[in-house]
Amino acid sequence: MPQYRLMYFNIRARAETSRMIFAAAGVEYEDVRVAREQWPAEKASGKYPFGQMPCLEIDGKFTLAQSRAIGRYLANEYGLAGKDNLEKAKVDMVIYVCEDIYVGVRNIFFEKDETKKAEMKADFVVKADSILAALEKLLIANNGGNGYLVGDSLTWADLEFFVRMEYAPFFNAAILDQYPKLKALAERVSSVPEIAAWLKKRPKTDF
Amino acid sequence: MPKYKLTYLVFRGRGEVIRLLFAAAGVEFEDVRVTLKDWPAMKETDPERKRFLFNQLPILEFDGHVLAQSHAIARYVANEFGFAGNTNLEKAKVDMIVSAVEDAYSPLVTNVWYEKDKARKEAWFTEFRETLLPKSLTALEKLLTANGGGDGFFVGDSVTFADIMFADRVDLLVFHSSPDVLDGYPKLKALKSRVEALPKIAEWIKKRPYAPDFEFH
Repeated sequence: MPQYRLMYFNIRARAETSRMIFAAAGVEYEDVRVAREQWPAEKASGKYPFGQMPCLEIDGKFTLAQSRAIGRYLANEYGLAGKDNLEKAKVDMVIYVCEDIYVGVRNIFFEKDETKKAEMKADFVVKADSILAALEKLLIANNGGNGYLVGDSLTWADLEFFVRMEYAPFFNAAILDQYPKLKALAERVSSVPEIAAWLKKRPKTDF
Repeated sequence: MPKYKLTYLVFRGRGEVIRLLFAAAGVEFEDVRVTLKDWPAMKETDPERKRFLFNQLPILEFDGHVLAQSHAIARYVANEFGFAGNTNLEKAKVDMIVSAVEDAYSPLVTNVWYEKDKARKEAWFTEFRETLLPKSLTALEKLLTANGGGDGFFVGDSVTFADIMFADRVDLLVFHSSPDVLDGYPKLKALKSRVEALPKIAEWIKKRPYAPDFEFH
């Protein structure tokens, strides 16, 4: 088993899906959380290929950057990526769609101006509804929707979806009530024993 | 071989890398191009969203399957035809570079293409030219050089999605910066020429339809 160090800030954001992949796969790793004040010095060290985090250091030899590249690498290594190229492509599709959810939420979260924030929330709810309606359809098309988003077992698409929907309270906490299959999927993911254990022990963060 | 049908806008934009991958693979595909004007009507033909799954383009249709999201499609084509990298780690390196090139390019769309306020647009352009783009190019030059000296490709020893993505996107980055923007990055500059000289890619570049991306300035 390689030695892994996952480096990020003490937030969920762009590293949480990878942490969930490690948890689901039962793979040990060092969950490095860099304090904001430490980051300028870390960045200046030159060990982050694009001066950003998250990064995954593999066996102290190679540092992989870019959150989706990291997630996909771990998913591929540990059987959570989909079983053939077509499934992997469907998984990827969900990953990119979930990115739209993340970006929308992140922009709302970091907006200081209250009026603008309210406006952004209202706009985003419409967008989120469109995305979730499409994902509900995709889920149902996969054998009725009582399993997972792609194929017949958990993939990192389900994990990414769960992680993004943890942000629902930032725009509409009850939004999944309108999408029963997606709601049940989120609950199914959180009940996977290794995931439930992670959710219990992980540091509690705002974002 | 399935019959592949790619539907995208008339631009190079997010679809061109897929077209280039099909070309590099020597695989035929139906190259459907939709004008911005015609796109709303086309969406109306699919009220159940069986084709335009997320209400966006590009989509790839083949053998009764539909894929959406440009990079999901591109990676599918790359994986099918051997342009994705050979091991999981190589694939991850390819993905990392693809993401980084996208990061360098996509703010151009948000901050320039869509920005109405002229002053904000100009200010962002300056930041892009003087800070953001050099940072990205420096990091990419370093990664390329780390692969056996940088006179081949980004990952492994043959052309991948990463090289094709870079060569395609850099045209738009160059256009928005200056023609000699790659002069400080000799390995990247040589890579772009190397990719464009690959016979099947050169052939595609020669015969592809005109794409009016560069009018949106």
